[in-house]
Amino acid sequence: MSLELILFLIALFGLAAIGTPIGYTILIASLVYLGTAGLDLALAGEKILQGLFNSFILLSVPLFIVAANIMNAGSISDRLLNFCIAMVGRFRGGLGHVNVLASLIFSGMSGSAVADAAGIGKIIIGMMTKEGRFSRGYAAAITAASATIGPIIPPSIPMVLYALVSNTSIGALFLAGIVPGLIMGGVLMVMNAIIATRRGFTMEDPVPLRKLPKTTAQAFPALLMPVILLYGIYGGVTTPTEAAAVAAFYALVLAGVFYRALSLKKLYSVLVESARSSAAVGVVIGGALILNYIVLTENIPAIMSGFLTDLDVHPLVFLFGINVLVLLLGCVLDATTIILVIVPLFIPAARALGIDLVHFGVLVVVNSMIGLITPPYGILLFVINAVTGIPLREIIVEIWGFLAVLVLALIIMILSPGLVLWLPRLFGYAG
Amino acid sequence: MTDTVKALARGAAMIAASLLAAVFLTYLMQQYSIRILDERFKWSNEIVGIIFVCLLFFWGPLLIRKWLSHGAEFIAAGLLAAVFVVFLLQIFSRYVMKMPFGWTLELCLILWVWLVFFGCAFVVRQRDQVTFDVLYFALPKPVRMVFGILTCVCIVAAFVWALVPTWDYVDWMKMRKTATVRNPLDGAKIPLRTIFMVFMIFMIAVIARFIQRTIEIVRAGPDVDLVELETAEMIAEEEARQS
Repeated sequence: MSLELILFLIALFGLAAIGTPIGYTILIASLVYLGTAGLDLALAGEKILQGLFNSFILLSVPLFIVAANIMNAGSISDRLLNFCIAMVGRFRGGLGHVNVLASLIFSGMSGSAVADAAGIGKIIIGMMTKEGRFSRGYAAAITAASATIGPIIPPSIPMVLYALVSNTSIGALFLAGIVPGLIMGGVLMVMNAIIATRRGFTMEDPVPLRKLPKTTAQAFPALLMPVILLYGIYGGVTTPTEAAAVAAFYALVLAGVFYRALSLKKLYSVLVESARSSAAVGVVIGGALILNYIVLTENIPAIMSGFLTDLDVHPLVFLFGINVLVLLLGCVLDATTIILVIVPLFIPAARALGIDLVHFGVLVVVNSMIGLITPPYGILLFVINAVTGIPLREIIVEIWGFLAVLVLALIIMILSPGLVLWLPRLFGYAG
Repeated sequence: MTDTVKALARGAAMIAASLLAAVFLTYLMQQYSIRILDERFKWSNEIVGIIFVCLLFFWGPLLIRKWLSHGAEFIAAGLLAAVFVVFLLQIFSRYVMKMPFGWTLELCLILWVWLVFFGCAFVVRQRDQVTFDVLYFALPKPVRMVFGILTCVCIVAAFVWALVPTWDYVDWMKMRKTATVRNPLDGAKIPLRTIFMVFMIFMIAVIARFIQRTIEIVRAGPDVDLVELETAEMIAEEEARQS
């Protein structure tokens, strides 16, 4: 290990630990590296600028953010909820099931778990806690748990970021997320049913069948969104990146023209907020680009995969090891940082061990989403705490059961690559 | 106290308005001299300039804070909206007109680079940053204060250190030009220096911002953002109650 690399790591971890924003931390640490290695300091700026200026797929990130924010601002979420209540509200623990189903559908539109939790999650927590039907903690916990599905089912911002660092096809990644997302929804619903029967939670009054067509008709245009997106991508009409623009456009038309729930003023604040989050994410992506340059200059991935090959680990052992690592890191780091900074270190090793990179990507994304609800540092827990005021302590008490079944779902996915890769292969992914 | 401030503000606004009126009058006289007298008043340009500078000095301090943050938000939102619209144009031109515009993709990338760095320079607040703050918030206040200042000092030092070399690189990029996007005014391809200039703006703004933040932390303690956040929440709640 060279001196400059050691100094780089000290600066990186030291600054991150004292609370310097991650994007700036990476920038400063790489300047330290370049300076001590006697390289041109301008390389940092050059890598960021060229990287951002040349990577087309990154353009989908701000657009997916816009799409999600429009959907939350424009009452699309409300209509979906009514539809879900009509579908599954009548079962025991009804609103819990509604919660999961709504997340499943909504995740087909937004690419971000935080958007799910802050938008549709907030509304449904209000419904669940009304008249004390569910405890506050339970309502918040199931909302947090089901929001993790958001970035698994396409579209997905974390998967776009993974595609960037791993050079895998976004189309294949998106398809590979569908089955795992459904599995996660399934295990959460089972868990909800078990807890609901044991604690005797209420069910909703069944919505009469004759009302069903109307509720469905109202939600129908919103339900169509995932279909349009997937058709756009796999029918060859749009690239996955352009699909993000189509998603945002469709959401805009729905909210603005069809439902008439989005004023110009609201749209403007949606744009400002989205610009803010895009820029904040953008600088971390920029940082990751220099980091990758340094990692490659120091030949770290090759050293690491050489080390692992020497150890002669079984691919499954490697996968479990990485997943435990990501899960642990997920307790303290957020998903963007894990995917952009930590995961690239292991991609060459995964490739050398013959692990399919799309399978690997899905596992990493699922895993870092589970990290979002793992105490002590789960961003989703904080978001729900911030938008509803439910104390963190109450949420954390209730989260463990859901966490356990999600980890179980993850283990199933690790053990069966065929399950994850079934859909992409059906569409011609050769892996 | 507040009355004095109000009176001052009113006075300043009146002076500013009359200055604005003076600019307009001078401009009218200039136009009059050119078109009707056919002999231009020589002093009119200077007068407009002087009055304009006065105006800036007068109005500036009053409005600059508001302008800066609101104007920056407006520009960032505009950049994002532009990415969106240009993208739609690209899809439209390819699938509906069957004749793709060549320049849409590159324009989007330019807008995206600008969005990120302009946004980080002027729109992203401290609490919007992706930060590892578990440890930070678990620490006692004096330690956080030291860490907060250390963060600022490191950022400022590193950015100042890299400023000149980075400028050399950005300046050198005048050699390379955009592939498809042309300047709408003269039809020439745009040198990458112009596009990458936003990175220099970003660096300088970040340096200024974190010098200012150091002063804030020294004055108001390490939790300046929390105070800001709480006020913002209180305002939002108040607004919600009223509506």
